Amino acid sequence: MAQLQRYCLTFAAVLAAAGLTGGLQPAQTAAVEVNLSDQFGSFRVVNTGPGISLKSEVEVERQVDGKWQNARVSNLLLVRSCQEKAAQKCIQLAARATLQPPPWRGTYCYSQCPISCDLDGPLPAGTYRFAITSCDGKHRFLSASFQKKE
Amino acid sequence: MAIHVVTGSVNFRADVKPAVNAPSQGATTMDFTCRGIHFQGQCQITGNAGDNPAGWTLGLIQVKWIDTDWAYYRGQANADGSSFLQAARPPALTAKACRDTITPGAFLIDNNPGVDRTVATATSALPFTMNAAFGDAPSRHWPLTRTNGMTKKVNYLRESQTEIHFCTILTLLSPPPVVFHHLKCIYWNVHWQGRYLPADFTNLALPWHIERTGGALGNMANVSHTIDGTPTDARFKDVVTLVGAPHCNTLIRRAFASPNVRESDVWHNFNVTV
Repeated sequence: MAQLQRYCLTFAAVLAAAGLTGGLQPAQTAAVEVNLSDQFGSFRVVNTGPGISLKSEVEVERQVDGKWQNARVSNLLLVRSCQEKAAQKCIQLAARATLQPPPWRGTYCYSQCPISCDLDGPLPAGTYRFAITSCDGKHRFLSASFQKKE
Repeated sequence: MAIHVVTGSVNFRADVKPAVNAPSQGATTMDFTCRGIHFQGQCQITGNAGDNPAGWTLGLIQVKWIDTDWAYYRGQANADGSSFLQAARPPALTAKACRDTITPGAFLIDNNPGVDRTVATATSALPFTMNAAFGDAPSRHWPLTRTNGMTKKVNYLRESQTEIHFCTILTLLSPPPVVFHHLKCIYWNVHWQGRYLPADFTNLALPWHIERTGGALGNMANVSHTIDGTPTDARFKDVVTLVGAPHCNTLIRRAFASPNVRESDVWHNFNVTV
């Protein structure tokens, strides 16, 4: 298992279309933090904005030649535990709610909870980050980058 | 003569042999894992002065061609019933042979970026040495328990068998229009078979009794010698370079998510071959 190079930084990608509702009230801004924690692959999703629907699938991105690429990790989901039954396509995260899924194992297929795989293996050493997307696809929330060793 | 393989330059071997681990009890699943296999392939291409090697690619193709995956569940008492879950027959498993990649639809093994293939460029000096390497560690996971729909009682994982057989091919691709030149191949497999019983039906977290069954063939990993040329086995040869071939990880994930289920209201002996 790869080792963690920990970054204490937390990074909240706050993206929202600016606008007004009813012409008077400012729209509440979607604000979700994806915070890394000590253990390699561990992350916590904190909703500091209004309630939001998020895609269950968590994307892992790898930095290659200075650009972020989808690392093609599958089966990494926004679930509270591996005991949860089949994940829905989207999950609702209430305002001020926190979700700490089981960590990413650093692998392609059996990446989080037990799942049967034919081709699997560890991703290469490098710089990675997690990306979470709102269910409507309008907002994308990124973690800080972190290092994966061999 | 156009770009061609230097005679005697092709090498392909499993430099790390796989080995199956004993079934291990997780929080909610019995886990069947292995120390993975690792392959190393190499060849050299050459040509005449002025030949352009750009786009010639050495890579690997892996096909799964046998899959046995079933599990038998049994209640604590005869009246609690039993269940049989089959993940290697239709409709759970929709194709027997499939191509094994991370990206659905891809041809070449793609789980070892930067190392799993070599692509020649216009500046690659001939003769040009090409390498391709990767590892694989397949796994299976059966839930420890399930509820029998007939008796509404909990059934506990009692027995299971998995046999996964692969063929891995070292292949050289020409630039478009792509022609595959299968240089060498290796067959390999992993087997797990066992019988299980909770030590305490009121506390499933306690270590279960796990007995490996099936004799010498029940729990093993084997690797063939290296075979020259293209595989000819009719059971999978058409899948090797088939456009849109079934994607192994997708198929097996779906099969385990929705296995074929047979249930009984007593401890039944199910026919595992169907």
